[in-house]
Amino acid sequence: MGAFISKFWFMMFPAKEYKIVVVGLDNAGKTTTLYKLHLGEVVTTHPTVGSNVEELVYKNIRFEVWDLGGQERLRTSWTTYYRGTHAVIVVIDSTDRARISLMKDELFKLLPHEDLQSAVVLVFANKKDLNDAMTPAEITDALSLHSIKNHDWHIQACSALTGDGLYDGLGWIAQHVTGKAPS
Amino acid sequence: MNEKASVSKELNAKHTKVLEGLSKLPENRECADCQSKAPRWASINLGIFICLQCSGIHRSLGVHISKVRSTTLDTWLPEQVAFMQSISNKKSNSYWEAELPPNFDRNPIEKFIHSKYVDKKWASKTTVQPMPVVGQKGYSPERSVGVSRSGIPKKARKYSLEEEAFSNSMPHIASTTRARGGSLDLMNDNILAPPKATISEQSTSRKSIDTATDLFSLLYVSDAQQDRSVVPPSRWATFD
Repeated sequence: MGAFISKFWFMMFPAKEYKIVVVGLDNAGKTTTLYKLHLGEVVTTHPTVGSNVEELVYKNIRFEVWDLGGQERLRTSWTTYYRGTHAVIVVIDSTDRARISLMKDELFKLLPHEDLQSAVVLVFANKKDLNDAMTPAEITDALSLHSIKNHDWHIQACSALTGDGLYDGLGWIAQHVTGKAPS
Repeated sequence: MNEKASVSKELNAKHTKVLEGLSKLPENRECADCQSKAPRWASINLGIFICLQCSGIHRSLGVHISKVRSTTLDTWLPEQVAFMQSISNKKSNSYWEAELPPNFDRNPIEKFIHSKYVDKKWASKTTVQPMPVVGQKGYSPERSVGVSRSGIPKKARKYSLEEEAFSNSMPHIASTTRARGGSLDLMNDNILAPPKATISEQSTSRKSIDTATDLFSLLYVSDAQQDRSVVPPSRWATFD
């Protein structure tokens, strides 16, 4: 019944859809994050070659979420997904200390892109359930997030496996895009 | 810190070629786990070629078990390629599947891979795991490369990695083997005639240097081979 009403509601008042792109190095947990949010369960993933896209509804806000492949040669194609993006989710493997600087380079490569000028940036410090995970503070330093001036940003520790922290992050996005985006 | 920046385009192209060649070898032609054909992914710390499906499962094991890279979509470091050359699916499985009953049903493959690498259910109890030779500390090439990596500016490294790795590992290895040779002498060769003892010492030390450096020499030997095989076609092409 509730589902029917909400369906009817959306038919009457089509909600605006916000576009999110999910980026990050390979094996950070982008696909797992997307499907944990979308299906509420952990799926067996393969390395994403290309992209996955799903629609999420959270707090009556619709998100079109693009999960992009993280392999090195796929990262160059990220720019082709940026148009009309309201939020960028950067997924970090919190245990991958060796490659965090690589992610920093990628992050500062994407931020100046003209299609992302009004986008907010959410950093998911994923895999926080693992023992040797870096803390959000460590990651903030390693990525020099404080040097980001032109974008709202936020870092959220999470675990895509348990779902811990994912909706907190999405909630932050919801707050910030709805205030900002022209509707 | 970004070591891959030092991998030039030419080197990268060479690596891609080497990896492609490796994955076509009979011992690597099938995925190390599910035996499907033409694996395009690899585990860089296990030294095996695997398929896309299995690579997804390997990634879920955690990087302390298996580090997955694409042979086509990732940039590789020279030592990673060298390691892939030193191991093969066949060699790896001779350890990991030593105790595996023949015609074992590998489905569900998730469980199989987990049992194989995490629980080490079928791992050989007599032989050594192929990985630690390079992956762990010891007289490993990786260690000597690590030294050069941190100590020497990237640019220098780009041009003389092989020399450096060689010169870094040589003294280290030479000293250990010499010491070992000496102790062997003391233990065994008291009765033997002196000339004979020195000969055996020489031969043992040379042998152990060979085994220690052959991961490196492997890469460059086969590079040389590859160059030879690559050059003629390009000349023919110009004649066309």
